Amino acid sequence: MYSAKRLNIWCCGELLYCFIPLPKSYNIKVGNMLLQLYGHSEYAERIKRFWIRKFSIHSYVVIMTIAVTYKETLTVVLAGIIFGQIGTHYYTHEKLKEMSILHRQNIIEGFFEFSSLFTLMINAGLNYKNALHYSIGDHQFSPYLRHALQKMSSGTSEIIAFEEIPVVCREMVITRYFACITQGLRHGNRHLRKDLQQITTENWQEKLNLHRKKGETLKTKLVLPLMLIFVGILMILLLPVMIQFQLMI
Amino acid sequence: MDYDSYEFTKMEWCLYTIKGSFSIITVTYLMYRNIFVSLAFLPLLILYLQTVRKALIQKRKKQLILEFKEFLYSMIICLGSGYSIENSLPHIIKEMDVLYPEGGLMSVEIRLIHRRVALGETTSNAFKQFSDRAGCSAISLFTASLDIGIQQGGNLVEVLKENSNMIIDQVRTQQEIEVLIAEKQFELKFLSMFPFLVLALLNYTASTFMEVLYVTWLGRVGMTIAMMIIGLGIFISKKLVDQYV
Repeated sequence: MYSAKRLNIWCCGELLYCFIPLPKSYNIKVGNMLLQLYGHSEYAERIKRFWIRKFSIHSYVVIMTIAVTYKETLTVVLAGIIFGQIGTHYYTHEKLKEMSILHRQNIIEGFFEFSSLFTLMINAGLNYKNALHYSIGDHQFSPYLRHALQKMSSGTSEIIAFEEIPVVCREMVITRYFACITQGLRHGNRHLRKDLQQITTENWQEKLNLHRKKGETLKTKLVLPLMLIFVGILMILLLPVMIQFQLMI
Repeated sequence: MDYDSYEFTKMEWCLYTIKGSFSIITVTYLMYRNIFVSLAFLPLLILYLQTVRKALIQKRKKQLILEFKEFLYSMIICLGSGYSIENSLPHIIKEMDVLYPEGGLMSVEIRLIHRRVALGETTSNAFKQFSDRAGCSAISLFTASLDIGIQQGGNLVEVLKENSNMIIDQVRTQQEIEVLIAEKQFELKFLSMFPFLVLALLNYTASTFMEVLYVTWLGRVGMTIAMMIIGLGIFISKKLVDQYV
């Protein structure tokens, strides 16, 4: 049953790939977001699912528009379909974008946690592999670290394993931290401990800035609940007038 | 003491029960002007007490981290003047007693660690037990570095001094973040109190005008809907602030 479902998803995905009229750059953009969210192992299936979901919402909009406006003129039907298509396209894309941003934020939060512990462990005298093993933790950044550790255990050099992490995550703070480690490993750096400490301290400052940014966006987001509260207050103010008016009639 | 749970004292039980009951009865009385309806809402007190318990757990953890920062400062000074970790503990206890004469959380914990070490337990093990109960990242970081430092050997005092400085920086940043969070939480508190203040003011200044809301069924239904909308607004804003935290 499960394999039949998988086959079905695969066939639909293959079919959809042939008919997608969107530019290649958009496909790459969506692909990158899905890659960040689900990783390489689930990428192929997730991208097919994304297009299938998008296609089904589009079809639903077309059917609903025709069903609602079939008695009206052709222009109304066409306008409904076109606007519905544009709306659903942006809805699905924005949803994916939102998920991607949240995931990136979680990765950065996890990285801050990791970098503090990792630097402390290096400072305490552990080697890179043991320090990494000790500081994996349990957050959104952990899978990347676990993958690097697995690679190290299977014989890959520490430099290559560490270099792959920023390539997959593509975040400035992560790249800076791992670049310092790999450069230290490659060329030797007797100030590495100090450098790592400095980067970790800067990371914490970055965390503070992130919270400031979040606080600024929160102000805008709080407008909706504020409006709801004011609607409630307005109801309390208007209700007595309306009821008295009705009683008078 | 487990820092992830909180047991009310008898005094606290009485205080929060009275406070919670008073708030619930006041709000519902403002809504329906009927004491029996207000009493029917009293089971909400359980939810109120749960919220208070969570807030108290957070408050105690914040206090612990604050005192832990002071502990680290004292430890750096003692290590700098040549004491070992074990021998620095009695001096730190004295300093903490001066800083917190009413009995701080950290001075109790250091006394416990000192007693354990005196009974023959290893220092890292005594600190580890404390960090397991505390559930704070700063304390876990310190314990982990102490544990690894003891296992690896080397200049433990220097390592601990450097690591403690780093942890202090992190705690300081965390406290700055908490200030930002507190600002938002205060806004939320004011936002949720505002509609009830307006309602109380209207009831006080124009009670005859508002009378119709409490005597007709249409008024009662309308008031319930209005309160549901206000409740939804408060719920959404609380969710948004929680996400920010």
